[in-house]
Amino acid sequence: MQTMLIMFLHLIKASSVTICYSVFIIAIATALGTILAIVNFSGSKPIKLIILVFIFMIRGIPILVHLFISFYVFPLLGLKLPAVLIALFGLSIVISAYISEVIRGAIESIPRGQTDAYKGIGMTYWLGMRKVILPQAFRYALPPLISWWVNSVKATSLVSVLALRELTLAGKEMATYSLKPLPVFAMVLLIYFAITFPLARWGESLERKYTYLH
Amino acid sequence: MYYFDIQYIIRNLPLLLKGLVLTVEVSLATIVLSSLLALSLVFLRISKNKLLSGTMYYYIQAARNTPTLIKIYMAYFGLPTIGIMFDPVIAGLTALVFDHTAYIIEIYRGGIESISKGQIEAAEGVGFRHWQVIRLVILPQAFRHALPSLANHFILCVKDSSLLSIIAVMELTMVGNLMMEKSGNSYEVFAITALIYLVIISTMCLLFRFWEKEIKFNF
Repeated sequence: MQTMLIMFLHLIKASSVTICYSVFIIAIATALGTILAIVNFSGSKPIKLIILVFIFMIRGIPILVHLFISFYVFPLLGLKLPAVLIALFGLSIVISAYISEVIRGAIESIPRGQTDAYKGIGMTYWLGMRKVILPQAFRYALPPLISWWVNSVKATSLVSVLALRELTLAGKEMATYSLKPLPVFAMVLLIYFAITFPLARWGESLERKYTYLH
Repeated sequence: MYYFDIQYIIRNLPLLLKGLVLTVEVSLATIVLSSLLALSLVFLRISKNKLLSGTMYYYIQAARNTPTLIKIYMAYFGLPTIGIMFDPVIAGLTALVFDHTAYIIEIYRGGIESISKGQIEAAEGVGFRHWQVIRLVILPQAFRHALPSLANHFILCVKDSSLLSIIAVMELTMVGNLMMEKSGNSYEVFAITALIYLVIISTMCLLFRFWEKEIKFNF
């Protein structure tokens, strides 16, 4: 029982690293994804084609393969970053592609009347986007966005294959070292659940709220 | 990097094909097993009994909000300690099916709950019994509503099969890593691995889009 408690506290310490990585990935992926979505929505045909190809290549390949590609290919291209940053930036770029699709869908679901209204008042395109379209689109996009935030937390467990210390690697090492894999992995699952379940419930409550509004 | 070594890929093509075959087998097994399992469990999820639907709700939340990697480690390292000895492929498959069944239960539930009550009342009025209503009226329509989400999820199943590489299952990602460690030219190896995955997933996308168009509701 004593050893279980010590292992649990060790896992909690490792989970602080996971939370750091998750916040980093969520922040950068949401920012990049929003920019990509806006550029995709209001860009010319060639820009839309480039972004389409980019998103197609990201969605067609497993995230693990993306991690290996960024880990082995970034140094070949001359970017000598530490392994942590390579993994986190790689994951952020991948998740930003998915998030950009979510936000683009939300922007495109705003009725045409809003666009006509702001043009009628005399707002320029960027002012109208900033004050009229984007706040409404963001409210529609929030439930799927939150589910992608939960996916970002789950994706931080993938960086353990690149031997970066976070909760999954700590759990695996402790499980194989202490010869008690089931309790240790159960504790790891519990900690991940404690991190992501509040987010998921918030997303569900938002979704229920928006379904009943119309 | 400027000289792309095609001869290297051609020499290692048999190994890549073996990895591809295992990837396709694992993905198909996950898809088929979790679809069938979810079909039986969805009736527990939509039942009026709060205990049954609550249990399924918490199972689904636990499976959806935790990383699949931990479940694969648990199945591979943990199950032998309670006596269940699997080889790595079956252990990984267990973990993946446990994970994906939860998602597919939600997809089926969305499809079933999107059917208007009028259909059920009409069927009962005609004289169908409970299971006949489900089999002949609800399920065919629910399947048509759910097919786009199901197609999207099956593509996710193919991508999740690459996670089995962490327990040394010789599927495509693991073969790529082995080739990379043996020879060191990462550029060609990951280009061909990415290309094969893109081809598999684009083919699936096209096939599903064709199927959706065939069975689309035309009101």
